[in-house]
Amino acid sequence: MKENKYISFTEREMPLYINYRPMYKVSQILLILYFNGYAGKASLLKLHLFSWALKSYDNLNILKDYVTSNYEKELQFFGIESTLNRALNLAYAEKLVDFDKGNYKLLEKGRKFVEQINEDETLFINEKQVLKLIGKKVPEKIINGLINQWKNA
Amino acid sequence: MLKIRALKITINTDQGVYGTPLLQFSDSLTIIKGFNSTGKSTLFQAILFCLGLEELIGGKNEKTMQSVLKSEILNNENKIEANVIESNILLEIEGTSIATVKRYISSESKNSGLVEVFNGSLLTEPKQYDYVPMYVHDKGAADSKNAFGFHSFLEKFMGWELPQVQYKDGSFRKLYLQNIFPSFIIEQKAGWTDFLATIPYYALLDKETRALEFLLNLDSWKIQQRKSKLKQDKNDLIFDWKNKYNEFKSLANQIACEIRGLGSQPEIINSSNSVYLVYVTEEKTYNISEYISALEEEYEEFVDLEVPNIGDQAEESELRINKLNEQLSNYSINLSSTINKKNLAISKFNSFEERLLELENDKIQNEYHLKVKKKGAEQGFAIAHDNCPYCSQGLNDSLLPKDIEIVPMQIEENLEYLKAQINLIKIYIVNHKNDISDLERRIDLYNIRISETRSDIRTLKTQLTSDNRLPSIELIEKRLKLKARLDLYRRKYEILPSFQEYFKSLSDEWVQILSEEKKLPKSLSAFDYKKISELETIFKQLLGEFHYRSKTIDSISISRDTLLPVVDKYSLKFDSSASDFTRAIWSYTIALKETSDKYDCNHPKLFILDEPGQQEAGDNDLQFLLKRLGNYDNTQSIVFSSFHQSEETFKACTKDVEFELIDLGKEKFIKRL
Repeated sequence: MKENKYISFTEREMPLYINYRPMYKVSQILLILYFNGYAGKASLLKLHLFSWALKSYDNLNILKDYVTSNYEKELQFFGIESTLNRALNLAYAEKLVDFDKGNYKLLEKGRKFVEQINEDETLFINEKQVLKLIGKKVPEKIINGLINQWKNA
Repeated sequence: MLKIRALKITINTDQGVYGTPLLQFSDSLTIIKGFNSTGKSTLFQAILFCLGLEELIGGKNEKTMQSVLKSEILNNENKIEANVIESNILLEIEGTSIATVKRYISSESKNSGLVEVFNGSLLTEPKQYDYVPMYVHDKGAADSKNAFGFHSFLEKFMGWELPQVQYKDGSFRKLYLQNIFPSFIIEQKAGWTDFLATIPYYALLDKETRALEFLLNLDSWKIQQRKSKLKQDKNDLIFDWKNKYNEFKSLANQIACEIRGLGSQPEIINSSNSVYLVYVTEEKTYNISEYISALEEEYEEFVDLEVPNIGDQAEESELRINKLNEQLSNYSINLSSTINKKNLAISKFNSFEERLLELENDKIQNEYHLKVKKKGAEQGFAIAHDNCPYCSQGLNDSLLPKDIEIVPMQIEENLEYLKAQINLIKIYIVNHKNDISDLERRIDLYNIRISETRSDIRTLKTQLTSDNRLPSIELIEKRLKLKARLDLYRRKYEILPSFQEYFKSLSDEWVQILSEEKKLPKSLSAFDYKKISELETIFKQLLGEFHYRSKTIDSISISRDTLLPVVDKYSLKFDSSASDFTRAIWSYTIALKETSDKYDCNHPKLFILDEPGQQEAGDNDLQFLLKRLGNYDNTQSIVFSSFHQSEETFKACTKDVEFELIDLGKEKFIKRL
């Protein structure tokens, strides 16, 4: 009997981690700029910090504790991910945000969209609550301070 | 039946007595015509107010009434002419007898929640009739046990017996009169906006349908009622079953038995003997009665044995101690390994719970994504359409770099995937929960065995150190223990039949409920269907005669669920022009009465219509409506209209119509008397 020498594979579609979805990440960026940016502006690092915080409840709590303890509790490290940069590129191309002097800024089209998200009470319920609570209490200076600590360490 | 015979408004002011003359209504059609703001609406509202139905205008008590009745009277130039001191309305009505209702609107001494009901025609044949004070709107007003509730009086007066209906909180209470009247008394502002638009809110399920069911005396509300009753019975039974099952289970646990032939949910038991208890040992599973006989045998053997002296038993005792020690260490090993297993299961269980939390969170976030993607697509974002805004090439709905060649799931599919995972994890969790309780039971068992073995060893050891001539304690103790055990099992065995019978009777009830549920017609009886198709026929025929044009009449039907007119399952409202919708309400209102007449149902044979010529419904069509109303010899209609303040319109609309006219003229109708 002749053996069949070929094995065939069917490529299956993979489930994808939600943070790798473009519209999700873009919406998150807009929310951060809207709630946490001064005049809708924020640096790349600040966006990374908040985006890291929104990745899990643990992270969110660490950031919340850090802010509510008046920056005395330890914030050892926050992650940086390349997908955020890609999402920023997309948001820029979509004219939702602008890039100006090292800062990302919310544009009118983006503001309109994020206001819609904010009004919809079924969307980003926890996220909006915590971002609102933290508000503008994380100035760029503090973030730069954190980065310097890492450099010296 | 309900007829409005006469009305009179009296207002005492600081400038003397104002009011209306005595207004009498025809048994058939009465038209009340008057220019705008002469007082048509005041008369219409006065009728409703006297019947305690001012909620149809929106509100309770005097606040719904116009200021002419409660604060000041204006002259034709809209200047204040007099201030109201006290005002009241008299309304003579006919139902099973004749009565006159008096209600105060503004009064120092009389509450507006009060009506006085005179037992005769006070207006048309004034005499000194006796009267009873009754209350509207206070808690007892709609309760038949309260002799002074006006609405329960009115209900009997009209020859009605209102059904109990289910409210949203699950309770059963009487259907209110206010819920039914909007089907034949139509107010001009809200009344023409929908079918039965002015039913006040009473947290009643499908309130329009309930009113229609009553008017047409359908069996469906009885079926509905029967259904909710069955559902209630079912829940009660499930509750009873669960309680009894838990009781049974705790009995079984007390004697280390397991239940057979029964679950925690109601099921069908064919005979009471199919429910029983078993005692499980490593070698054998005993039925409880078998186990009791085994215990009896064992006990008898012991009784027959002569109690030996300690001295005779010393050697044997030592051997037994060794054996027991061996057993003890076996049990201990088993115990510790079972505890390990349990801890492992618990930690797995916890990690599954954590994973479930994560998955559920993931699911929520994926749902967010789906929503924002839709919103983005509405705004025309390229990324929301899976296109790259730079190069217009596919994005795959992913932020991963292009050189990673995986094809991610579409978001909807991803959501389904997560839901499947969640279900799977839930199953794992349930399984582990069961495992854990199993292991816990085993741990308990080992603990009991260990302490029993220890106590046996202790007894033997004590025995070895005491006087050789004493009788062996071990045997005596064993005999006592066995006797206690036997007694316990016998006692519990005696209660078993009561459980078996109880479950059997519950099961019989369960079968009964299930079979009744099967027997119930879906919602309407055959007779109901007949009535509804009659309603449909009349309704569609009238639509044609009123020149309804928004939809072909063939596409319109009466919904068998809601009893309201629909086009392709949607309310007629959405598909009709404003004037056509008014025509549809006319047709439906009339069709209800004619259907009720044909099958002798509950319609009171009364119409009170306030400005039916809404939305330019057309003089011809209004003429047709009035003619139809005028032709009834058994039905009273009262129609209020300004006829666009034009004599020609009035003439055109009433051509060939039989009616009596109450002409309010062009000026304020309420004057100094």
